[in-house]
Amino acid sequence: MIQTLAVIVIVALAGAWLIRGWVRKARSKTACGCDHCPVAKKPGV
Amino acid sequence: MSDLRTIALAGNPNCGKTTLFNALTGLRQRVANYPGITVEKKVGQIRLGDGSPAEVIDLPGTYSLVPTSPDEQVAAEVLFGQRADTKRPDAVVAVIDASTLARGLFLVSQLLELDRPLVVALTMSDIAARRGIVVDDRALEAALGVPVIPVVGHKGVGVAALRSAVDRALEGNSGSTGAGVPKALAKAIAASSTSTDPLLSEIGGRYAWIDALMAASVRSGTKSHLTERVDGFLLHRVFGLGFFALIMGSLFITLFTLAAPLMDACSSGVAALGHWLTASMADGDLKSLINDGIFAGVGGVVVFIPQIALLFLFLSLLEDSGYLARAAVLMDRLLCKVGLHGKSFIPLLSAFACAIPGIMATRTIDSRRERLITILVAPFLSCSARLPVYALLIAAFFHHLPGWQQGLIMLALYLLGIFAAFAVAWLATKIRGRVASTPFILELPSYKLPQPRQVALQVWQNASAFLTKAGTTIFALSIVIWAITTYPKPSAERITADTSTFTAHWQAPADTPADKLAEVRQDALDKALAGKALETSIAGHLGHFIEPAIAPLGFDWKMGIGLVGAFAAREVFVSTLGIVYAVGDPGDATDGLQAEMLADRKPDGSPVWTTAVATSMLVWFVLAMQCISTTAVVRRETGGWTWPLLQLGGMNVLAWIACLITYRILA
Repeated sequence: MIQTLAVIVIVALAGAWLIRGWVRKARSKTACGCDHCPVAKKPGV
Repeated sequence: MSDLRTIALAGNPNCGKTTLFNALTGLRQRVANYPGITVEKKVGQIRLGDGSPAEVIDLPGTYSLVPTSPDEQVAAEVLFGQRADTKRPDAVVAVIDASTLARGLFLVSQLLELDRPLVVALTMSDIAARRGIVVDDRALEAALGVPVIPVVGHKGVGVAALRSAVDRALEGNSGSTGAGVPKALAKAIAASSTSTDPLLSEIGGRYAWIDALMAASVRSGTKSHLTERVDGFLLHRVFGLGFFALIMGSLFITLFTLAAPLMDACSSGVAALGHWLTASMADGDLKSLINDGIFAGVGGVVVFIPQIALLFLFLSLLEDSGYLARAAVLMDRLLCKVGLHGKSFIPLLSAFACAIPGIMATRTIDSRRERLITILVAPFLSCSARLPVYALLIAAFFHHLPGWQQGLIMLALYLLGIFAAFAVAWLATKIRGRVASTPFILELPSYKLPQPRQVALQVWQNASAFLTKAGTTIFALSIVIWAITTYPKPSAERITADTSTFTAHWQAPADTPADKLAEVRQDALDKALAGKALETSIAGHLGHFIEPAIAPLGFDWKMGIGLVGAFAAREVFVSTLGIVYAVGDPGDATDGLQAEMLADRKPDGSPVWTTAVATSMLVWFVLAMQCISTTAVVRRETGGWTWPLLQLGGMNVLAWIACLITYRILA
């Protein structure tokens, strides 16, 4: 029972962390989508 | 913006500026980009004589303060205090290469006019001496009116003296403020201002002053120029290319031969750690998550660290020795033939590490069309995320070949990617027509012995980036993939039905001893039930759903699960297979993923993985576009969805056709 609960929590946390990362990347104003590099989005080639 | 006092390092490209920056700051540095552009901003900290910290900025290499490229623009803007994101430097260190002194002095002649304390750091004196050039730094100092400090950055020679000179310059008691523009320089510029073009006449005046300065402070001998003689061979259109192929061939052979024992050690270490951690745990889902999810997934990727580190070790050795710049010149001829530009070389070279920085580096290409073609073909080049997949499949299915031949297979995969990139670029040029190309100009640095410190830094940066990815994204993905390969579990009725089917059809192998029969039967039953459980999981259904599309290429549903996982990141293919085989096999899986794959059988008893399947899979990984992050970056860089979708569709269709042909021929 404890093992099952622990697994549910771990999987939920991992899933939430991944989704949060993807959302942040999609909303990011930087071209590479990372959090630390201040490369601004540049429209068009 | 920082309130610390700021010291800028300015100099020509390849003058030893970054080596000096590393010597001054050590590991107290951070690398980012100037906002709005992909010009790298390197900032570090040093302690001044009074113990207070100061910031050191390693400016992009520049030949003058009249910029002709984005890099030079940034350097000039920082020095003039025109960038909102960077404080104007309190002092400037002009880094000049003693072996190309005139070019460096041209920049110094402009830096002297800035209203900033200036110190000149004279680098590469050893290389200049080998060329018979001896610079009298005292005479130069007297003529310039600012301190001139000879330094050897990688050995730390002169670094302390440079720090003291900067200290004195900041205190304002070295007489090194820019107010002291040498009279001779002002006179030379004034004397030449007769031409109709003021810029040209100013350049003429500066060079007249430099000529006089060099005559007074430089002694040139008649020693032969080793660099020029070596370049005669290495840049030769036949021998040069042959040598390039030889270097690359040796690189991959060494990579494979050297990495194998290190990878085996890593693999054993990871497996032992997993078992040690879960030894005292009761059987259950948590234990399975740790062993079959985290350790099979993350561990499966982490074991490739030695190969990643060795690849970057070799690349940084080539770069530091000065050879990579020659390779760019060699490649320019080839790139021009397929419609690319010499400036495409650096983005394409970066794409061997990761397509994303490669695509972002295309911003230095002036022509819109050449830039677009470079963006479209960059993902064909084998990034470091493909390396674990290549290494796994080559080691598993070509293990009967000697190490050097396995290395050549790896080289062939890299060459296939290069060939595909060039072929697509050539085709795109044929379809869209060629544009008049701007000439490719590149400073060829002198040959020098690679510096262990620089090389180690570069290897560490790349290996730690890979480890960070394994510890974050791949770790989380492994947990999620374990969950979708484990749940939903089959019902009790289903297990009973599967057990009955197994009992009805199972036959003991002929050579099984009578006392081992029950044990062998139980093992076979456990394996069969685990396989059935995997089929009923979400991942199993997903694998079966895409199986019709990939079956013609020789791939089964388990590989399909791996391919879906690879869209998050290519190396996740390895971790997904690790989890699929660990979950699908209730044993300890101590033999590793390769053995599990080799032992996997179809219902008719024939092997699932054959050499034909593995080769087809390798071709898929070379040619297919699977990286979602790259697609997102291409969308941003091209300003719409047309090009990224065309790239995604085009590369995957090409990969599918190539795999089909490969599989049909080999099977």
